[in-house]
Amino acid sequence: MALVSKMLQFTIDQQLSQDVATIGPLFGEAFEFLNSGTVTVREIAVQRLGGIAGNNSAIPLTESNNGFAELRLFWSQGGNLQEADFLAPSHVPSPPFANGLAVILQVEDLGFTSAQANLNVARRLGVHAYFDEE
Amino acid sequence: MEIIINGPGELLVCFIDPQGKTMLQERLRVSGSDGVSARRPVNLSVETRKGHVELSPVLKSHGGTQHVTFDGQESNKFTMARCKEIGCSESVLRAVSDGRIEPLPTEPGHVPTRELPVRPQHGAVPPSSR
Repeated sequence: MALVSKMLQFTIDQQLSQDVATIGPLFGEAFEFLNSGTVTVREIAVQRLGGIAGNNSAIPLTESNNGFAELRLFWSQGGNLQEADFLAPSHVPSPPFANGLAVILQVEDLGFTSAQANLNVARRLGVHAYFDEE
Repeated sequence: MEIIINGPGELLVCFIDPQGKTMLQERLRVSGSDGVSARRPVNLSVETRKGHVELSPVLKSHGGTQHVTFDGQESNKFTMARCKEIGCSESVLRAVSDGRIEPLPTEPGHVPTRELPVRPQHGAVPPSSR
């Protein structure tokens, strides 16, 4: 099989009305099936823009700068399903994995509950991965 | 509820209360090969200072080659059933079916195109500062 370079990317742009006082955690995943080739993960990255602030609150809400992202790679070894997880950020190639079956790129961010104030929420979370299949 | 997206592109989902007001909205963008898919689980309720509010998802727009389902159902079928379940009025149902639900003000995302961007001329005044 010839070397095929692939990209997987998922962005969530979330906005809430100012009437809302509780927001749930953010989770999403993009996935793709592979062709049983040898897979090398070349790069995983996550970006975050915006965030959450209390409306009419003297106490600002703070949290981490980035979301959490990981790439789950599934492959077959001797007929048994195997899984390897790769965390972002990573910019060096992974070891090669033969018989690649699927990749799932997951991203998540925190939820909030405010007992005192409404929440201003506008956050964009993006994750991407590059991988080769040969 | 689970939003399942098949195919690359961008979609906008508004989550409305029984009065048709958008309480939450999400713009989801998926990029990759034609075989890429995505899953986004969403809770169909929020808490406000006035109490618990049930929501219904409304698919405002999606990419031309994308197929979107809500909990395994066609999105418009799920939306109408959910709107009735949470007690939307007839006028809200009409607004949903006519595509007249107002999204929250936001900047649209950038989707890859087949056109070169137009660069502003040197010394041009940005429209926002005129």
